[in-house]
Amino acid sequence: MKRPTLLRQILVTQAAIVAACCTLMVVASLVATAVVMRAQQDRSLRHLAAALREGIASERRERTMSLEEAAAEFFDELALPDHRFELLRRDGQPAVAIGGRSDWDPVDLPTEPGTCRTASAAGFWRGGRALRACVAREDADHAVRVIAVDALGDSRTLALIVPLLVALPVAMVFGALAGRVLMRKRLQVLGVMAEAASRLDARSDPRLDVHAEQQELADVEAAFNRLLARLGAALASERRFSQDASHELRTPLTLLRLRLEQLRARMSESSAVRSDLDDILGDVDALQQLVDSLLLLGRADLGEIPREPVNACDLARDAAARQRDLDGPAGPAIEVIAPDEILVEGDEPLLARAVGNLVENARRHAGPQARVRLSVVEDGARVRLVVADDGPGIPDDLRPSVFERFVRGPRQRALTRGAGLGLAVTRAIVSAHGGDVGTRPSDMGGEEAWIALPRMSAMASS
Amino acid sequence: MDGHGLLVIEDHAESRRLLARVLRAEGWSVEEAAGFAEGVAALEAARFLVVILDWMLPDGTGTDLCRLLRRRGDLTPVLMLTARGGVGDRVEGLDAGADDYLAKPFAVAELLARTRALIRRGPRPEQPVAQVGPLAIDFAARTVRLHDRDVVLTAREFDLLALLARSPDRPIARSTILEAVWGEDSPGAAQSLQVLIARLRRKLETKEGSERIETRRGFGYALRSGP
Repeated sequence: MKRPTLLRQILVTQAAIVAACCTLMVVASLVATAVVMRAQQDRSLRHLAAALREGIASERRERTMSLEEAAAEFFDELALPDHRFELLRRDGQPAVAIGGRSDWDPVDLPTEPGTCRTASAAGFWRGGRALRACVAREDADHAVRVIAVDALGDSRTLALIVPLLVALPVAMVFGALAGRVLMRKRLQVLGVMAEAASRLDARSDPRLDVHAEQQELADVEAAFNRLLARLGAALASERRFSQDASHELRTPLTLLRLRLEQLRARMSESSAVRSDLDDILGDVDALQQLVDSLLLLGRADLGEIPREPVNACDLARDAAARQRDLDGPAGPAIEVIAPDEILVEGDEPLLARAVGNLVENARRHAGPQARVRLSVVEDGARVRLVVADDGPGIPDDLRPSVFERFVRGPRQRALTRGAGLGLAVTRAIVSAHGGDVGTRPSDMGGEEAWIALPRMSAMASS
Repeated sequence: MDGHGLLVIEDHAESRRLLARVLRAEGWSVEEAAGFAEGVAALEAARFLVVILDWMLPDGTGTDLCRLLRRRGDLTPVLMLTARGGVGDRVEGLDAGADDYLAKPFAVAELLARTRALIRRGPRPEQPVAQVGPLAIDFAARTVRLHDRDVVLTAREFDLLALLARSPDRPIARSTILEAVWGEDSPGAAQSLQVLIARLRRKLETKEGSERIETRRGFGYALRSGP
């Protein structure tokens, strides 16, 4: 599954915030503009109304005439484009009306003195205009009304919004681009931290040394380092325990061995006690192997595997030679088919043990007279080491579990004293070297167990 | 040869006593030390053929003692004993300047074989890098260069070459090689030696064509120092 990136999420969030802010600013500035414009227009309409009343009054002072005549006289004199002056009767109908345009179709104009109102903007959306009118009292039966095009009612005022609407997406795009550049730089430290973390190994005192400048990242780094320190302490104490346990077990075994060998040296060749001592030494060997196996399986002895060149073909030849030494000159054939050299990387004694266990297992499982064949072949980037025999093979139901601990075949259980750890040890060693183990029927009629290990890189061996 | 006798540094009294007894039975004179400080004192007072050194001492570690020894320019061969199992420990011991390594519990025969091999080999070379003909052998880094080319050797191949390179042109007995490199003189090991010599020869081949490792029939092998 492809996860969203943090950068993408931050940019989307940022764009949303920019959009919201811009919209808010547009609305706020429109409202503010509207409020100011309306207030201005109403003030000027009221001033006009006051001026009209004053004008009518002065006309009537100079010449005696009726209110209607004076109003008509003065309205005509003052006439302003796009304005209509009216003298209203008590019933709200205009007695005198001067100016204005023919397409004005006012409805619902205010008649109450002292008020200003916008008339219903009939036809507004078709390009018509809303009108604004203010009414001022003239005398008990008359009022003066001034009507003008509403400053806000003109559809052209909408043009004010256009630059803002254009500015909004521009701001969002620009913000996203700038944010991308800047945030990517900021977020790089996360990549650095991830890379540093993946390069960590179990070696002494691992920690991230990124020293992030940002507080949050520094917190994450510190928490990560605390976790590493705790894990390191736990690992160290476990390793110390294993080493102590191994020391405590091996010291008495060493003493036991040394004493037995001393005792044996003092016995004459023919003594019956001497052959008993040989048996006991064999038991000590078995005990020692068991201790080694348990420690290996507990990974106590598998700390850091040294990376030295090891010849897989020699591993096969040496294992065969050791088994031949054990079998004696009359023993059954052990065949080795291997080129001169295929190198792997790792610890030779451990790998020798892994192979030796397979050979020993084949000998033990297939019976003392079975033929055993070791072969080493290159298999792409890996080398495959196969130990095949012509014994009875492994029952199918047992095959998946042969590399488990303490699993022994029925024959083995009856005949030998192996603890059933050999193949488990082999698997532990091989997987610590980055390899695999397995078993399948062999072309010799019995079973074949194989080890596959990564070959030493061509780079290093050239 | 420089020193005489062996020094056993081991804190566990029973083990020390038994070790000393086993070694004395072979005819060597043996001095015993029970810890780091005692060991250092003994090494200052006398010279030894081989030091047999336990890894864990109550007042310091065997590796520290080994490093101290090498820093002082004391090149006495050191055989490290350890009851600690870790694979890394073996490498650490050798890195610290130990010449060989034996994991407890060990068979007496192997202890004696390795001790004999160290005595025959003598003190480790003063120079960390030996130049034998066109070969440059770095004993510390365990790497080999032939002319200007790296030669990739397995641990055993390196041990064999290093043994031969410690005394160029002087033949080393087959049995010495088997004891020093394999820790045993068995038919299996003898066969491996032949294979190993053949491979080492091929890896050290140069255009000039003459054999770097010469066979001394019926005795052993020698590393030629000539060009």
